[in-house]
Amino acid sequence: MITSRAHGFLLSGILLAAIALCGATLAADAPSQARQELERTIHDILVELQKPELKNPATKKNVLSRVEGIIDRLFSFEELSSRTVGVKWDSFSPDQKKRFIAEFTTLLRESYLEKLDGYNGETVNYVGETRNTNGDKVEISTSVVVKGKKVSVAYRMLQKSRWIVYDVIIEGVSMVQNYRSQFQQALLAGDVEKFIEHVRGTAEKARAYNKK
Amino acid sequence: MSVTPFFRVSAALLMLLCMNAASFAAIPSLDDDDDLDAVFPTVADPLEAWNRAVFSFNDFVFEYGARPAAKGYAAVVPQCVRAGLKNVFHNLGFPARFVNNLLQGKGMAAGVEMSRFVLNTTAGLGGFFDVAQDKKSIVPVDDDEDLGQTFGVWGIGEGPYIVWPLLGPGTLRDSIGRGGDFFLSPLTYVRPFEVGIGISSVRIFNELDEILDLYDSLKRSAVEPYSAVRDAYVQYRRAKIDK
Repeated sequence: MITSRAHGFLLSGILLAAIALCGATLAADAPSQARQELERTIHDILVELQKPELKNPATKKNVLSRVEGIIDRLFSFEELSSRTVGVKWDSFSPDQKKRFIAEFTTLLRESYLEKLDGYNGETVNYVGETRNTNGDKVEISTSVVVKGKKVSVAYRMLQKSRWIVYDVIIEGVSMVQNYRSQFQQALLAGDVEKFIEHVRGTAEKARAYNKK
Repeated sequence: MSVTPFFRVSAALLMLLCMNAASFAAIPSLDDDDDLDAVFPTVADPLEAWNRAVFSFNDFVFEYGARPAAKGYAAVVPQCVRAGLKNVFHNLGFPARFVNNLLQGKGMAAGVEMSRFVLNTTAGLGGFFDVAQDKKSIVPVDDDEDLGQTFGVWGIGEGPYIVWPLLGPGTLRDSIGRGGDFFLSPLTYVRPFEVGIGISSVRIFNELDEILDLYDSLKRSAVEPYSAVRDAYVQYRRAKIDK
């Protein structure tokens, strides 16, 4: 009698554990796909950055443009743009949206991509990931050691037809939030055309600085 | 600086900040970041006109004073010496980190700081070599703790945003914290004063290029540099306090 009850407990225990495990694997499915996408992208970028061509000023451009192509596969500059502009985005005409995305992308490219030629064999460690309640967004935390200092970089991703990155959080500072706070000021001050022109001017300045 | 008036004024200001204590999330969570209307984080900036003027002044000093100085320093002092000096100054920051870890209830982290300090001061020849770097610590240790963060952990509000000449951005709370940390720095007690000031200047020169790099990348990528720095400062500090 006692043994059969014990068996019963044991059996239900195993069943519960099995169900819990299944649930866990199911729950882990979606984010791990996002993480795979991110890992593949970062891996491909690092492979490019390890090429000696990067250290040669004449061929550096080729490497960086290939890196840009890889980034384009995962980053959605449209999503990034609409999120940084905020509520005002809806009042942009399709043409204004297109021009803004182009200028903003240029600014980001000139500000961040050009820094990659200082790459010195740094590796990326995956620290963890969190998911939103709906399961269509994940935040993947990584850390990179730059010049002996550990820097935390988190990627926020959104599931559309594929997983895309829509925000990068470096040492706790969200790129989307930071640009939004700047854009608010600029958008409050002037009209959309002036604003796009302002972003274009900033991108132009960054480009001129990098050419120097 | 005489100690008592500083602490009296600070205590009064902190009490004021306590009254408007509010804890802000660093950035919206994954569930909340679709709200396109929200601008996180917001910090009170009643001194904006003054702050902007100081910001421009600092920018000018950085471009025409600090940058040439940093270049000259880097040309004269080899990289290995710079890295070593940086370790020495980090090691001297031990008392402040130790005390702030304790004040935040991070006893284990304080212990890790203590063992690193002992190891680096002895085997690392006065902190020049960071021999404790590769030792795995039993708890994650944020190797940058200060009184401003401690106040934040205690739930004291940030107060208004202030840009200080040469020192850069801060909030009222963090500025009071910096004042307090000053008393936890061994360099404050070096006599004669001139020697202490001399050592502190070496420290500033030694870390100038890093600060300039950071400032540069923020400025070049910014559409509106003043807001960019203000927002980045506040987000960064809030994230640190959450850690």
